[in-house]
Amino acid sequence: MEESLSAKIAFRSLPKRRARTILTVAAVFLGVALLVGINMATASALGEFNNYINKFWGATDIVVTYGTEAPFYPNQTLSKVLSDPLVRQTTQRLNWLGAIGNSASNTTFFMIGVDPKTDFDYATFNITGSSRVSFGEAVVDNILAQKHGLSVDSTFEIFTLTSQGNIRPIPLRVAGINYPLRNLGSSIYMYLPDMQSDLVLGGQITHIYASLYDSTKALLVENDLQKLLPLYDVSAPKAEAVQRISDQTAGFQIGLNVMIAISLVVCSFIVFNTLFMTVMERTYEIGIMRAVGSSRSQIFRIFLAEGLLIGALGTIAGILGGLGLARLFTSVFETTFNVPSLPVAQLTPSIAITGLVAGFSAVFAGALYPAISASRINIIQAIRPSARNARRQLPPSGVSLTGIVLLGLGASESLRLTPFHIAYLDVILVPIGLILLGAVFFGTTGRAIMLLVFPASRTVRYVASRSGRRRLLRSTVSFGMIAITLSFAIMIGGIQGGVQEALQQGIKEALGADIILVANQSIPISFTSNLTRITQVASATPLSPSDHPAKALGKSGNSSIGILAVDPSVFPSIISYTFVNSPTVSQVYSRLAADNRSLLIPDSLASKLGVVVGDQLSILTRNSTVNNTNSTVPFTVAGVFTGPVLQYIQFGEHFASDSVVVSFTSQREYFAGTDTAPVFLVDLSSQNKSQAASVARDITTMFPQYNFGQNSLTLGELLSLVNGTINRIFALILLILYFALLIASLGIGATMIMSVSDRRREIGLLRSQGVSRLQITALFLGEGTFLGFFGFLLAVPGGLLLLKGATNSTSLAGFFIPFIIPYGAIVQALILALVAVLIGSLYPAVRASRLEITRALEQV
Amino acid sequence: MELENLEKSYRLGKVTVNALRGVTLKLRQAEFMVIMGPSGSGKTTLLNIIGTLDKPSSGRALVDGEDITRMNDGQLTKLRRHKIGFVFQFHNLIPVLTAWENVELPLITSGVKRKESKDRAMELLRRVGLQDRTDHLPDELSGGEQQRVAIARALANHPRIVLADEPTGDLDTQTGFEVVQLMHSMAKQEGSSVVVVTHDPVVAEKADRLVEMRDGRITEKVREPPMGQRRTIRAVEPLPPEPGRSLSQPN
Repeated sequence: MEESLSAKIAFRSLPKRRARTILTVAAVFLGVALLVGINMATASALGEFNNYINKFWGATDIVVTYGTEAPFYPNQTLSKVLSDPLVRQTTQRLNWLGAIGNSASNTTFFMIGVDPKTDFDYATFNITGSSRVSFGEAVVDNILAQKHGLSVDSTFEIFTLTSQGNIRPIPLRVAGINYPLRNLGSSIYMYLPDMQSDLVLGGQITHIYASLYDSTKALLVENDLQKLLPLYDVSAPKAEAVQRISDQTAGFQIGLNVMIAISLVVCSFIVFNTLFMTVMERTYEIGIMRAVGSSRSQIFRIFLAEGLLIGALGTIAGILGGLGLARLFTSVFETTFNVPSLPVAQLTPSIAITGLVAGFSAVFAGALYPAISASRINIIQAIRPSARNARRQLPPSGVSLTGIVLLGLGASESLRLTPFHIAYLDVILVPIGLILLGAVFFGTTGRAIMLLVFPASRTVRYVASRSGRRRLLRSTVSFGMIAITLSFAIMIGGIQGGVQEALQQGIKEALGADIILVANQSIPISFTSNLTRITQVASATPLSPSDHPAKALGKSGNSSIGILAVDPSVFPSIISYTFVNSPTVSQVYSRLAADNRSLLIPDSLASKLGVVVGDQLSILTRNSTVNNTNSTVPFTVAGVFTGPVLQYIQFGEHFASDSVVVSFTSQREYFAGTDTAPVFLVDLSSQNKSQAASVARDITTMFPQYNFGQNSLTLGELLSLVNGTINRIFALILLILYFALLIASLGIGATMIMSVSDRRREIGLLRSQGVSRLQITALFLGEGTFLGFFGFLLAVPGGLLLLKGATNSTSLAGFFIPFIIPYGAIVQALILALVAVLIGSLYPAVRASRLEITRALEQV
Repeated sequence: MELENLEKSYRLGKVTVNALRGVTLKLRQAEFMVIMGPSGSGKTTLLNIIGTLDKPSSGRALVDGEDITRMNDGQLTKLRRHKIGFVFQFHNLIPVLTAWENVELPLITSGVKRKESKDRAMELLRRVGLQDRTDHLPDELSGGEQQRVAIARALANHPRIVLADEPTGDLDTQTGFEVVQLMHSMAKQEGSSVVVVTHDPVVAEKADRLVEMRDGRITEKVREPPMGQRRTIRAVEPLPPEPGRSLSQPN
């Protein structure tokens, strides 16, 4: 009964304050729609990625191989894999290299021995013809079939080296054609026992594939099996891919979530402001209700009900609106991440519930204090305005002190001066502290600032400069909303600049050649002399990732690693790695040149393996492709290098951050190197740097057989590619921030409408004193502009402190971002602040100027 | 100022109210005119039209020979700025401005130079006896002090007419008397005409001319005695305020 009365009063009161109610509902709507839209679009993108990974890997959750890809007998291994209770089924494969054609022109491919009866992964392949292969039959990848004119029932002959090192021709008949999801080099699939016998590898395999009862536990099983099989590489390809994408987009996700949180905080501010002003206006009504017997809790419930009604309208509309926004964000994602066509996002129950909870939480947080303050109003003071005391105000010294403590703590945290570190503490404390201090400053000196900065008419400036401080709470809420959103805009701008700077620097360090030539095959490293003969070229050096991965056996862990061969005499003159805790650069490379058992290692890999400069690191290597002999060789760590982009550069199967650098002689001796390289780094003489693109074209034309044009690129192209990607990603984050700013505009609009409403008599008096309509418009626009400008003034130190905090953390980008003052973002923030307040103030200002004087003067 | 056959009607819900029914009146220079009458008689409506805050439905209102009923909003704003001063019953002052800032406001609006406007505001505040309260905000002043600031502000621009709507309505008898005395003497010094709408007989006693209104018409013109001569007037019984009808009686 009581609840229905509360709801009835709330329901009938809201339409009386139509404009502010609409704006507040609109703010909640936008906040919730943003959250729902982003979540749906993200779910769509991640869902599509998972879908893709699942298609690519089929039902395979776990793959066990021997590090150097040498065949092994499955006896022990298979039983250990099967002993894990989470493993549902396993299958075995033998991967080998084969060739088709003659020695002058051949195509290499993977020969994969499968058992069609047990291979659950093979069973999911898209094969035309027969997928069942028996003795003398093969299923051929479509690309290979097309290249060699093969169709079902065609016969052909392949060549391979047996385990004994003998060349063996194998005649085959095409049983079926496979259409793989993606080509990673072509493969043919043969009957496993048949292939084992052909290669003289009876009973041996190279891979065990396993599927699990619960795919989400793949990483757990991977860990368990790795402990059981320390010398083997156990991987969970699907889970690792998801993990990798989630790691790489972690900073992006943090950015999105923080922006959404800001929008919701701004919504709370708006709800608070609207309801608090309503309580102030309805003091008399509250007094009457209390006088006729309403309890404090009933008054509390009435105002809470008003808040929740706003919340319900805004949230439900927001969830529906989110459906529309999701489409927008999905298309932005498609552009940002170059994904061709993401599926239309689905509104899942969990996203809808998240939206509901977030919307109602924001509204509840904003409505709580006004409802409590309404319930505490004194009856006599409520019904007799003359008995009302001035509102009890918090002492400025107390507010200042709180502000200083919060800001001090937040700033210390940003600057990492505190002995502890709590993630995001500065993100919360810095804005709150600044706003509290700003409120005190605004109350005492806001007028002086206004006089300085607002060049409107004297009359307008005169009144406007004196108005803000009188309505300190609502002014604080207004500039607070602006300050919060713009602080983050400035921070994001700074991060964007910093990430660009760091990545550019990192790219220059890791791949800093003017031209990066990528051939369609490995070329003898002597090809370098062809390049240095070109007049514009100052120097050139080969870069050779080994085909066969190796395994590092470190003090604190083992890891499958990539091997990257360089020429120590030329490489450092083109690429300048940053070495940490290492001898000088020349000493490092001298050691690498002189000692075939020395290597350079990235810092992330060094810490994973637990090695430092001078330590021995055992590496399980394949000495030669011919006889497949393996051995463990101790290497000395000659240098440890670092760089922000290593984790993004992939050579073969390994990222640069997981690859060690050795000399070509070392690669030849220990890693089956053949003094060939598919990549050549070219440095141009200083006067020809600007001609990189044309020189690259010339080289492509001069050596058409290597098809350099396909994948090669200049440093400028690489940097602009990176910048483009960064800009697209940040544009998306900023897009969301603009939504937050739009919400803040709505809040300012609601505040200004309330200001017009409770200053009607003042407006009437001003008009009666000869103040024109235009001057009244300018007065409210001026006050709004001032609030925006003050919010901007707070946002500058706030944004820079947040930026400092962000640059002191690696969690955003996975590396330290340099602190660069974002002047462009600051100017942009000023413009945004002014645009936001003008949007918010225009209607209220016009409304104020159009008030009828006699009606305005009727207000008490 | 000359009013010729002024009529004003407006809708109040479904009812049409005829607030003025053919009012004709002439206001002479430096005259202190008091309008009395029961609530709803049209006093405040008349005052609002004289003050250019409202427009009549028909008739003419001439100020210095110009018909204000034909002026646009900008012209009326300028007229108010330079020729008319207002004193209301309460909440007369801009709450965010101090006493001298309130008095200075119309001068600033008129574009008077800063020093000149400050001197004029201080001079007026001295004349109303508030030279020690110049930096106080309205809510730090008593009701009488607020009305004195309002009188000083109303006279700041040397207006031709000062309009006062129940200026003593919110004051005790003694303070009300002092305020009327002040308004009367200062208006005479400045050469401004004054029109006061009131229920207060103390105010009526100061009138050069007393006008009574009833049902939107001027029903009686009281004798116009020689300046300074005291006379007995007919007391008009004050009625309780009626919500939503006047400047001075807000709902």
